Formats: sequence, C-alpha cells, structure tokens
Amino acid sequence: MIYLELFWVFFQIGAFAFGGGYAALPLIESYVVDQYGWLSMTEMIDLVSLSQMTPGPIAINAATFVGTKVAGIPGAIIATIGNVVVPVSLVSILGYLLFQGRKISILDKALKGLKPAVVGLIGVATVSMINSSIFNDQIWQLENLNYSALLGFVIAIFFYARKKLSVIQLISIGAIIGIIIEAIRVYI
Amino acid sequence: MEKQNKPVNKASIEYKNISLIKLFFIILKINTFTFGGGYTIIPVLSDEFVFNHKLISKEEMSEIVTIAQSAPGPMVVNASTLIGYRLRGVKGLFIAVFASVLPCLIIISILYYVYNSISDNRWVKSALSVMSGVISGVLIVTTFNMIKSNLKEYPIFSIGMMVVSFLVGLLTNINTGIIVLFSALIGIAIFSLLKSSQIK
Repeated sequence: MIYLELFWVFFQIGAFAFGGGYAALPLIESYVVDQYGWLSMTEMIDLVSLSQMTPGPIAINAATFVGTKVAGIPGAIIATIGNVVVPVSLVSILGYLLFQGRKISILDKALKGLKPAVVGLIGVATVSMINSSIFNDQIWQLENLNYSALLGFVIAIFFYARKKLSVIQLISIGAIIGIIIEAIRVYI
Repeated sequence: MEKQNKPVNKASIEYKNISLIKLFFIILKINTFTFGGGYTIIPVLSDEFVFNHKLISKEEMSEIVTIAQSAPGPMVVNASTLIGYRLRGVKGLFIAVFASVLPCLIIISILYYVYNSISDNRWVKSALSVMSGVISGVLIVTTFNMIKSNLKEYPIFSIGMMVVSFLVGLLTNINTGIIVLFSALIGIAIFSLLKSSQIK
C-alpha cells in the first residue's frame, strides 16, 4: 500500500537525518531515488534547488513534493507526518529530561560519531548531484558535459566560497542565466 | 539543581499567558516567511519568543537550540516542537508541529503541480539546468566547510569517520540509514571505552 510505503520511507529519512539541513540529502537519494524510484536524480536536484527558494526544511519539502507526486495531497500529508514522528518524539523526550535538569551523555557520544559520518554521506550525495547535473549521468565523461550547469557550478563555487552571495541569490542568478542562454540559442 | 529549577518554575507561570491560537500564528508566520531553512530560522525564533514576546529566557532558548540540533530531522520543526511543549505542554507541542509544517505542505504541493506542468518547457529547462549546477557548487562548498568544522575536535577520528562513510556510501549498496546507525554505535563505543583525552 502506497501510503504505508510513503510513511515508512519518510519515517526512516526523519529518523536518520542527524546533523542539520543537508543531512537529509543522502537519505532522500538512497530511499526516494535509488530504492523506490519516486524521483529521478534530475527531479531531486530540481527539488533541492527550488526548496532553497521556498520556506521550510529540505526534508519536509521533499516529503510534500514526493507525497504529492506519488499519492496526491493525502500522500503529502502522510509523508510529512512520517518525516516528523521520530524527531518530534525524540525532541520531546530530550526536552522533558532537560527541563528537569538532566542530560543524556549517550546521545553526545553517538553524535560524535554521527557528525563526521554524515559529512562523508553528504559528500556522496554531492558527488552524485554533480555527476547528474554537469555530466548528464554519464559518470565523468567529458563529451557529455552540460555547459550551462558547469557555468552555474563555477559561479556558485566562486561566489559562495567567498561568502559574497547567498544561496537564494545564487539560484536566482542561475535561473536568469539559464533564460539568457536559452534566448541566445533561440534568437541567435 | 535547586538553583537551576527555580527560574524554570517561575517562568512556567508566565507561559500560561500565550494562547494556543497565538502560538499557532507566531510559529506559522515564522515558518512561512523565513527562507533557506536550518540555521537562518533560529535567530528569528529567538527574536520572536525571547525579545518580542518575552516568553522564553535566553538561556532556555539556547538549550532548545542545542537539543533541536542534536536530534535528527529538521531543526526548525524540532525547535518549534520544544517551544510549543515548553509554553503549552502536549497541546502546544502538536499545535507547534502543525504550524511549522503547514506552510511547507501548502507551498510545496502547489509547487509540485506547477513544476509538473512546466518542467518540460525549454526556458524552464534551461533555467533549471544552470540552477542544478549552482546547487551542486553550493553543496561542494558546504561539504568543505563541514569538513573544516569537523576537524576542530578529534581530527584523526573525524577524518577516519568521514573517509570511511564516504567510501562505503560511494562504493557499496549498503543502505544509508544503516551507515548512519553504525556511525552512531561507533561513536558510543569509542567514546565510552576510551577517555576523551586518548582520542585524537
């Protein structure tokens, strides 16, 4: 049953997404793209870029987007609920203990292992996103380069590494450049 | 212990002041108008609840943020959950969670239908293509920044964890969730068996 599958997949994504914002990316790729095929890699990248320009965390955006695609609005609601079950329960328990003045050292220890491991996994997601966007999924073959994406990539690295522009600004600039490139293709 | 509990109890009398409806609309507003997610929203939450409405003390807010960061899942939802729970108990918790995901549900489901109907348009395709390069670039920079900040504490251990999880994720078909679980267990094992000073 599709609703149960949606719930279960996003339940796991919510449960394992330790370490903030992009931590959900490798999980979304692994479950939603690779395992269930609910999104293509291109759709996932589009979703990630678009969700930088809309309010809300990537994981919830993905739950709504994928839920709507696979099973309409009820699917979106179920996937979103699935995504928050574990975080909300865990946070309530931790909050309850904290407001009583207690601390849990086992979670601190777990986090010391989790944080660097999640960085490695975000690295994996980054590699597949670069491969899909710039190399058109042809695993690092230069003859399949997507020059528009490459241009966006270079601009983003240059300005984002120097903290000159925010992600929202960069993505908007990317959209404008894309439209200009298409105008050149059409009219020249 | 006694000292720590006192201000909390005193404050909890004050907390009864906020109605569930008001709580709902404050969190809804913040989640609708704060773009970029994650860390951008924390100062906004803190402005609203600590300074504007004076419902939560500064110290409590920083504890809330710490828990929100150490639990899995979206930090905004986690922080909102804790604020709702702190202010109005279990009812407040559910209201806060609902208010924090509602803007997303509405905006992204509309976005899906728009995306679905125009993503084959050549202009949109070209724009999305450059945007996909941009987001890949942003991600690579973010990854490097995260690597740097992870090297501040226990650099050797951190490099080991990063390299192993990267290679396992890249080269094997092992489920990402399992890799995450294992890394948590490794953290618990190593930091329980060894003293922090023994770990490089």
